[in-house]
Amino acid sequence: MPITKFTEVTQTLRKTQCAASAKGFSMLLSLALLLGTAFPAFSADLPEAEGEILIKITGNISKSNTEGKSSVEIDKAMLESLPVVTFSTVTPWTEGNVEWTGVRLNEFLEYIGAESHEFHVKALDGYEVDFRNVDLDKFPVILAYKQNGEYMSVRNLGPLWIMFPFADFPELDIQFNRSLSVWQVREIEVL
Amino acid sequence: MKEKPIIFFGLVAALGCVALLFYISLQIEHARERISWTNAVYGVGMFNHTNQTANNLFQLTNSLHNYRAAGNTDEKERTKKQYLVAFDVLWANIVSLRQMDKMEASADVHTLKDNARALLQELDPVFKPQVTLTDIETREIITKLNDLFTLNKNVGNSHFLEFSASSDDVDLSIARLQRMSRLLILTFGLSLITVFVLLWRIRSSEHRQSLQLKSAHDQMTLLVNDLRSGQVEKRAKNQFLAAASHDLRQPLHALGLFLNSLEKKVTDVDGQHLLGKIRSSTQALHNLFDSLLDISRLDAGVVEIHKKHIALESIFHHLREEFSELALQNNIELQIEPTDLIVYTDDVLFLRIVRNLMENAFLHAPESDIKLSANLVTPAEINYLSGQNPAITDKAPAVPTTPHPRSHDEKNLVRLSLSDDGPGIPASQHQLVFSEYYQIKNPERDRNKGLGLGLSIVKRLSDLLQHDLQLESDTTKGTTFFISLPQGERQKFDQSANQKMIANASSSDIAGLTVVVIDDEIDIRTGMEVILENAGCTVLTSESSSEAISLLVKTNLIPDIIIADYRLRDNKTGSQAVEEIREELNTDTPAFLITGDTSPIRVREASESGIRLLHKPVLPEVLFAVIDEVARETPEENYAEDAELQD
Repeated sequence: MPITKFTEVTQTLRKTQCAASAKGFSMLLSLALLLGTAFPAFSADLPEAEGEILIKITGNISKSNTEGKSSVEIDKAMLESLPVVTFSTVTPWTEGNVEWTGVRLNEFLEYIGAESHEFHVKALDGYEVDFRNVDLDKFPVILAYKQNGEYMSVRNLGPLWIMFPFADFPELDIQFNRSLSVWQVREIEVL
Repeated sequence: MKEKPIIFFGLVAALGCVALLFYISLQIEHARERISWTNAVYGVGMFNHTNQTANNLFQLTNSLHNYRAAGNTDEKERTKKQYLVAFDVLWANIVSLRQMDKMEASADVHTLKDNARALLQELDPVFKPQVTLTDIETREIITKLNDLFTLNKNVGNSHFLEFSASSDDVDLSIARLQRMSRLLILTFGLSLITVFVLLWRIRSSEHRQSLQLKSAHDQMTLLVNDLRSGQVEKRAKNQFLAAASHDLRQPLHALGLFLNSLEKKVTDVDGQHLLGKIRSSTQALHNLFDSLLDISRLDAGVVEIHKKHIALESIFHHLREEFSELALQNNIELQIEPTDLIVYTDDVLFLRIVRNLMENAFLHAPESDIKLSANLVTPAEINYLSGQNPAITDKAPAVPTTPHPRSHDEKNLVRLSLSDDGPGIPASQHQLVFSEYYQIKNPERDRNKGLGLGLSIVKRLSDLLQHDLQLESDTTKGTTFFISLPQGERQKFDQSANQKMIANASSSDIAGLTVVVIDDEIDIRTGMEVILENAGCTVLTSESSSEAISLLVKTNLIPDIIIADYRLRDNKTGSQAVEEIREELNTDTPAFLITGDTSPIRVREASESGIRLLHKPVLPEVLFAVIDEVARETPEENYAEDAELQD
């Protein structure tokens, strides 16, 4: 059962923590520069996002494209540079048979240098869930950015939606996987 | 059929099983539909939606509050961005999600949805980046959003209640399913038990049937064997002989008694001549009955064997006396060679064998030479000779006998041969002549030539005595019968016994004896009375033992001998009558029984009583001889004989 624990209060709390940690920022940065030769994976692996940021990735990842933060920010151009996967399925939340277009989650995780296939998802509407126990190498679960060939707005539950190929793999059509089909994906923390 | 109710029961149980299974599957389907409907309407999806709606509303109002509280323009811009995103998120939740439309939701869900959509449509124009909200507008919007929040909360509450009721419903239907499946298990168990009971019953009934079949088969086999071996005919014949001979013997017996009395009364020559003819006819009749009786006695297995060491010459002497005159009459040259050999055999039965063979020769070889002789042979010789004619020797004895301690092989044998130069017997009929009622060349069945029982009696008797009997004959050189019997021991042979056997008793020997006759037939009583009184006896006749006792008491006589009919009135036997008289007189009075029964069972019964038994018809000479013999026996001898019988 999906548990929504995200409130404005906690969000505010996190922001305060971020602000508080800003003090040691320069120190951390100088340390990172000092150790730059020891950690060649830093910065240069991924290009910096130029367009609007669609999703931010933190946690157990080996790549980064933000200065001073071990996180990755992805824009539309970067997403579309990855191999495109398209399938159609009916969902409880949409009208009729819908064609979904996006990137395969395992390829996306590899792209951002994730060390595991388990991650914590946060959505714009405050929904959060741990994404576990899904064989991403076996099933083409995607991070969809198009619905019926159109980009999705926030009003239309976009811009990103984790989507399962329920029609092609009926065994995926269980209540638990529905709770993992997060819409309005905002942030991923790799576990 | 005991299986019927079981089959019916099993069928009902099996049908019950099927019906229950069908019902359960229907129930399961129903429960699944119910669960899926409950989940869709009140379940996790709806719960999440309500929760999400509340959260989205809260975020929007919160960001609007922040917007109102913002002091400077920068902060205004930042909080404006926030509430714009929050509005879009709420829009996505209320308008874009089709989930709420799919739910067959209750009225309050519709109200919530309609109100929320109407409000969002109304607010859409003012939630744009270029539109700046006044403080009053913002407060009014917050109030409207709060109303929506309350409405959403109420929907959540009522859904919680409905979900509870619905899940109770589901729980109940699962409980029912559980009960059903228990009933199903029970019913299934019952049908299984029924199946096993049926199988067991079928197995045991098959077993029973196979046993019945087997016993029926065994009975059939027995019957077929009986039919093949002639046992059935033999039994029928025995029954017929027993029934017929009893009825015929009574008058024949009386006839003999009267004839004897008449002889003394008829004085003229013609009368005596006629009487002589009547006597010879009666004699022939007697002989026929004796043959019949011999067969039935042999069949009953009651013939007792008393082997002794005897002089063969005593037998030959007897035959010479009996047949020499007959040979003269029939123009037969009879030659019986004198012998000094001793043989070990039952004198009476052996005499009957030779006599029957002699009679057979007289009948079938008229006007020929008949020669009887005996010689000693070694066992080797007899083995060689017996090998020549397996047709007779390989036949098992008709009556089982106890083997004599002295076997043929160890001792010398005496071989008797009786030959004639008559027409002879074709080889094909050698076996047949020993069967009952078989007569060669007597198709017209002339009864003067006998019944054809002679040789079959010879065969039975020689089997009984374990004397080897052989036949050598063909149509060119006449017929010779050989009998081989063990040689006796001279020092053991009993002179007196031989003398006694051939002793001829006459009526004068029994004169003066007191005789009690018990017979339930008046003719017999009268006949016995006449001939015994003629012989000089004192006769007391009675029809029962009690009558005899009262007569004895009245006349104050002590009887020398009791003669009783075996079958008396009131289901009494002669032996019982004899015992009663002996007890009354307190003496061991000599006695013998006379019977007309030839049925093997009767004969065996009578012989078991231990009292000597004569068979009707009894010729007067025989009667006198037996009276003489029995009356002379001392009580000691009687006891000795009893003891021997018990052995």
